[in-house]
Amino acid sequence: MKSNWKYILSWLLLMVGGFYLINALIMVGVIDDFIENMLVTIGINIILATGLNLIIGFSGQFSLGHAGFMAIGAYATAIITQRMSSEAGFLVSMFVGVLLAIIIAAIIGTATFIRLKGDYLAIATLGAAEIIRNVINNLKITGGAAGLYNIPQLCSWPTVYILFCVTTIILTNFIRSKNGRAIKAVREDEIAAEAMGINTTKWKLAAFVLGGATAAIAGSLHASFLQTISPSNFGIMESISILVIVVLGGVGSMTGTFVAAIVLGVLDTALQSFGALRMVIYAIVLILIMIFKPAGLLGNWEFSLKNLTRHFGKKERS
Amino acid sequence: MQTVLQQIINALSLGSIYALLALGYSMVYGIINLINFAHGDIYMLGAFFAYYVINVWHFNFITALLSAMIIGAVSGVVIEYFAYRPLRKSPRIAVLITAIGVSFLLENGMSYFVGSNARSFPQVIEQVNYNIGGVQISNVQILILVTALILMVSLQLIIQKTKMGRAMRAVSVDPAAAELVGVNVNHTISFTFALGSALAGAAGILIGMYYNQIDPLMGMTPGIKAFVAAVLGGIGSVPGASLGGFLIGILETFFQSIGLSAYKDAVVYLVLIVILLFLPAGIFGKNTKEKV
Amino acid sequence: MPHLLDVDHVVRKFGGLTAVNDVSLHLDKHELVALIGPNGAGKTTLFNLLTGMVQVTSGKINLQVDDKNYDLTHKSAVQIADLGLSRTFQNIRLFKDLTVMDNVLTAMTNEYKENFLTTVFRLPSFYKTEKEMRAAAQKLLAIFDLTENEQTLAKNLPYGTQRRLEVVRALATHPQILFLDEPAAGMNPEETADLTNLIKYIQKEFQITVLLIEHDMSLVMNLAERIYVLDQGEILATGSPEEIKANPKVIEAYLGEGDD
Repeated sequence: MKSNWKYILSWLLLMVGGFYLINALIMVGVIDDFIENMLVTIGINIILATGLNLIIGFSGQFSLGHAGFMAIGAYATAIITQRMSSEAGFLVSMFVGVLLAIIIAAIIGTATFIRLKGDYLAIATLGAAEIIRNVINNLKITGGAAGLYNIPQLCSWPTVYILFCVTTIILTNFIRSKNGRAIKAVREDEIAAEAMGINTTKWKLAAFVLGGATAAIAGSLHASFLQTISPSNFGIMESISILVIVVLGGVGSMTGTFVAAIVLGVLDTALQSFGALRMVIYAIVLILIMIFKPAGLLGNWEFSLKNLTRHFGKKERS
Repeated sequence: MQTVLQQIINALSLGSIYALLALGYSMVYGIINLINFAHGDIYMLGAFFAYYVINVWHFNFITALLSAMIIGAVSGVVIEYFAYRPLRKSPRIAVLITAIGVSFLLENGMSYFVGSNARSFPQVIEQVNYNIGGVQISNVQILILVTALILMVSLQLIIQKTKMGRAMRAVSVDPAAAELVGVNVNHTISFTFALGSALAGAAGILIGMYYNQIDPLMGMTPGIKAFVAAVLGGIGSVPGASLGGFLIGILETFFQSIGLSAYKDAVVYLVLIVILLFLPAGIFGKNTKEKV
Repeated sequence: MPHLLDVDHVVRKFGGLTAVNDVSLHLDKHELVALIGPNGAGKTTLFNLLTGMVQVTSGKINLQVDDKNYDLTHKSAVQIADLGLSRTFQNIRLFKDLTVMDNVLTAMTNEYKENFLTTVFRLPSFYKTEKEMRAAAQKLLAIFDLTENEQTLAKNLPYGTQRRLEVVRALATHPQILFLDEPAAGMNPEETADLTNLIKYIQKEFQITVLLIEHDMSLVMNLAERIYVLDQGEILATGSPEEIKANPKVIEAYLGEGDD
């Protein structure tokens, strides 16, 4: 019991320490606006990709529609904070976005998970996300194809940092629990899982809804931080770029998702000066990593303080 | 009545192009279970190569079509050899990401070398419009439809009647067993890529003629729609892919014609989802249930 | 007096093929019954019907627990598992990439309630439940001599051990009835002997009913109190091991075929 508290405390210290480290680096000018933007983008991408990894890597369901949930959060925040420009408005908008995402994810999931698997499921989720985008594209309140701009900036990097920590805590703790085991059992073998009394549809849905809810949070942050959104931000390409982070890091490794989001974020920033050649280099790097590391950068390895201390403990003893 | 006929003709010519693209997706998926994201970009390559040979070397329709098909086939085989073959034993999702990488590479490489703006496609044959009982039909539309149909029938013949076609069917059922009975699996997969990509190249020149305009990102949206068409028809099935392509073409044209063009994409996807819910393996696909 | 499980004229057709034809059988409380028959006789299909993995074409399946009647005929696999019918699989279906411990814990998913907030924010009750679950799993693993392998991935276990783990996992759902589909397949004689003792032990210890499919006749004759013989989808004979051994029909259809 005591050791549990030790780990919780260590993690909390790590998170608070990270916050003050970034803060200090901004104060002394090591992190300029440019790098701050990069960090925020990485943070938002981690929220998106860890949620998608829960769906793909842990529950084993192939979703290609993650950007659809991001769009829901982004538009909820844009529309509400334009009318209610305050911190409270931002929180309300995020709550509304999450709620909507949960409802829509539940509808999509209930309709598709019972009957569809694998690539067919991927295409159905892709289709569902495109329908969401198409509707947004045609509504007046969402500003149509031009999108919404002058969204009040009610979130700064600390907001992103805090929510990034909260979603990470929720997702990783969810996975390392009874729920996570049930979800992984569904991924491993649906028939055996059902024989153990595990309602496969229900657990797939749980992962999908939780992933969708975190994507909506990421969308809210995206809208409020960048202050401009349009339907084209949330298309298939966005879903795919989230998928790329998940696969590159290692399907089923949250640590890998972190590493991949950081690597890709830094690479993207570093390549800014290459102009048009940037995407060409990005594509080649992507292909090469996949050819030489098909299981992703980290496979399914997870970082854990417990194992780390165990490891060092062993070394000391021997 | 006339407008209905008119729309049907428009739908068929657009649908036939989707169908050609869908066939390539379907064949590749059938044989190595890969959603070949780069397929739409091979169609872009075909269109650009045709643009080049028509403008610079003054090729006529037939030779331009053949050269677009050849460039499609060659790039398909090269991509498979360098990007997909090393991953034959890897998780499927890794190959999928590689395919996405190849797609990015082709799109951005092309933008880098020729610029990203759209250019108008040369009129390889002079457009003549016929008016048959109030229905407008152009020789280009007829040409597109006829070319697409000829290619589809030839593909079906190759798959059903030739030795290589038999090898393709064998590998798609069970690669290990096919290898045991002497089928060269690697050659067969290369051949499948060549065939599918040649059709994509052909679709490229046809779409150039249909819309009179090409650009390096032109493969993205039709690529995804063609994949949807392949899934709709039952992936792995040649008649399914053709039917799926025509269906998508018809749906799009129909919703455009009744003034709902803004929602045409949503409707296409909605129909897709509904059909998948009732026929989870597409219209012609076989639904296989896992054995306990 | 109704039986614990009553299978009443059950038929299952796959297209033109009748895999299970008019089978009636019953299981009583704390019985150890074997189901034998040549390959393709429909034994596994019958298991699939009883556990809801496949639905019956006609007939009825009824469960009677504590004077309560449950009609299992059209229940789903999950519902049936929740009513206390658990099984293993002929072709081993472990959760391969999970550890031995997690495989067992997974089977306790429905038994231990844990709410979302206490889980994701690691409130004390989370650790309490988790500890209880682990203790229960460790007890089972110890019985099956798997304590050493707790943190091994299931896929890295030797074949015989994987089979044992499947039995543990099935037991972890606290079943009333345990269906074992060829639990000794692929085991060497020593492992088989161990398993025979284990099955006897758990049946007594946990007061459960066991129905097992097995080709290993020494195991069947040693363990079973009653035997059903299935041939071409139909019940050919039923009785005590001695009666089955002496039954000429059985000898002709099954035992006579091979010499094992």
